[in-house]
Amino acid sequence: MSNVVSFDAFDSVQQIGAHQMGLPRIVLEGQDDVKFFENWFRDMAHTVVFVEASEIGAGGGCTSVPTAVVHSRQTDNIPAIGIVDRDTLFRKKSWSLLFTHDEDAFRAVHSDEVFTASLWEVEAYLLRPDLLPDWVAIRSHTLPAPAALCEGALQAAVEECEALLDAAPAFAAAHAHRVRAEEGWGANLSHAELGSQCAHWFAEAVGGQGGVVAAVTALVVTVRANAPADLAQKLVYYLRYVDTKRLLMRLNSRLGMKGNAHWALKTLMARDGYKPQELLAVVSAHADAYGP
Amino acid sequence: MTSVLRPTRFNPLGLILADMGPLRGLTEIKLTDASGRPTNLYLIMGPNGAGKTTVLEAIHLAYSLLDGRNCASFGQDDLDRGNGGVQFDALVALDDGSRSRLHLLSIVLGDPGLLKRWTPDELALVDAAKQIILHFARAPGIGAIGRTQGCDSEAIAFAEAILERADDPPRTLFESANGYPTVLYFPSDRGIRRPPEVDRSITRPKGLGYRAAHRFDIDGTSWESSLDNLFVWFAWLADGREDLCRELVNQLVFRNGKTLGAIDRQRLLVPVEVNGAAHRLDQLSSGERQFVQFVVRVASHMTGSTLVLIDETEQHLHVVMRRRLINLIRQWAKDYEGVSFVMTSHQTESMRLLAPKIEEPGLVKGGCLVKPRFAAPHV
Repeated sequence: MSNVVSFDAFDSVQQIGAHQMGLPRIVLEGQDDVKFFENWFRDMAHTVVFVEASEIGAGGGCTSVPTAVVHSRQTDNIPAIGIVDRDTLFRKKSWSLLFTHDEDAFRAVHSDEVFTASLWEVEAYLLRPDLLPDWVAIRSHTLPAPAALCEGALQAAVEECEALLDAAPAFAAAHAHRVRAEEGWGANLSHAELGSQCAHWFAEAVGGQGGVVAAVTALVVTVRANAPADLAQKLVYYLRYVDTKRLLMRLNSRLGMKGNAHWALKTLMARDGYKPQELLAVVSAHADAYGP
Repeated sequence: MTSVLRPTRFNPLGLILADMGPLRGLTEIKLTDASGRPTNLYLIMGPNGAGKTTVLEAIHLAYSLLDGRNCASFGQDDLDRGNGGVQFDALVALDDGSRSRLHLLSIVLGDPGLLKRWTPDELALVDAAKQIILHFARAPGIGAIGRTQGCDSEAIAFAEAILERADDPPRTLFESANGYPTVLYFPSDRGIRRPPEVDRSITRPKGLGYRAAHRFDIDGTSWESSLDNLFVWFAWLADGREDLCRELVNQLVFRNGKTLGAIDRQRLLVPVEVNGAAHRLDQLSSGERQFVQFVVRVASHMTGSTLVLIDETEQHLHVVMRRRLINLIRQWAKDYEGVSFVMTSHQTESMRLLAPKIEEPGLVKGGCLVKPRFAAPHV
């Protein structure tokens, strides 16, 4: 390669800037994801750069990350790998892969361009079982938070996962039927109320998706059957299968937490120097392969 | 006696380096746009240690050899060892008193000699009549660096015109009527320090007269070369340059309540006035010192064929001052035909402000990345 390359060899100032930086890219779905990754992997900022897919010539939607990765590699000539949430499979209606408990089968979803995270969303990596008592303690509406509330946070989180697993067939059917449940829908409903509302919802809005309901119900049974007995391990296991944002809303409501409480988990993780190991492995491998 | 061909226009077109510093092999930098027009804004970016400064040093060296007939050494290891080579190409209009002709002048340094012979088509593209060569190398036996036997007569006549004009003092700021080439080099170790107190007197500033090459590193190591002395000298001449210089600094650099005051004729210094008090120039912040030096030196030393080299362009500058400096450079490139800038930078934002992909009236823009880690899309 020549010692110098004219700016004429680039299509845009964005491309010039990226080549001037000279760092391989980790392409993510949105700005929140970029913030989380930059926070977790701050000490790797000199080896990789985290970029939102929309910044690399890709629009929105679940295909934006692979599109941006291909654009980065083929058009910009910058090495890139994408990381997407497991919920991409929800958006693609890949129910059997989404709810598989077989890790070997799940690995099949990874491609050369995109790594699919095992947990539902990036925020799920914040919900470390050992952080939950401290989290409730600092974010409860009632300060000081009762000890029982703090110590019961893990149990509460697992129970809320159970409730959302019960509702999973309804949400899957709604998605298949192109009915979008509002983001906060059901956050304040009890486990029983959530079940009855979902049944009502099936009848009212999601009729005709019985096949999806039956398939996902069966998959959820298998998920439950393979759940670890240990409560902490069970939470981590369930975080693969439940909608993280709904879980956080339900936890906020049940535990009496202040709004957007999950950002405090980011701080607690930083306090402990914890990085999600699964994501660290992907980022490190890319940095080792292409970083300076 | 050697005839003299006076330069009336001098546009840098490019640089070729052979095994210079970190730039091994042949490295070609075209200071032209895609259609062959000389750029007046050229940005060099790249990682530390890639060779950006080597490029600027080589250009400065090519100009500086025009300031004398002989010198003891190139002052650059690869050239002095006989391994490295430089070819600096410029389009020069040479006037013999009755007519002017455009030539492609190649200033060649080092033992490898000419690194590129321009083809007739390439010469036609820039309207040059022919390529003329001015080759500097170590003379066999003598040991000094000087012009070789292979120099073209027109190139020698040009070089003699440069020497003939040496030390001719500029009459105004921004003296664009003079087409003689000059390079104003601001290396990264630039700034202003406190001049020695003992030597202060009204002294003709060292380096104010015409030279092909100026290097502005630390101003103030001697009284004669200090900015204070320059202001004092302009005040003594009473030709308006002192007022104009202060006005430039006050308008372009100081917008935070500071003012460059009138010369203190007792102490022979130019005071920086702020909040009713005053301090010396060298007591400004690093960024302010560098910005003041840049504004005053360019205004005072430029000719109508000036190449301004700035290494680490925005060093020490707050983002607002960085943007102000980049905008000033853009404005001067537009305002003064014949003045061009070659800058190095690590700041992507500066590149965005210079907008190399956008055509703008009065600006011809270009740039390059030195040793990028990944292959460019269209190489």
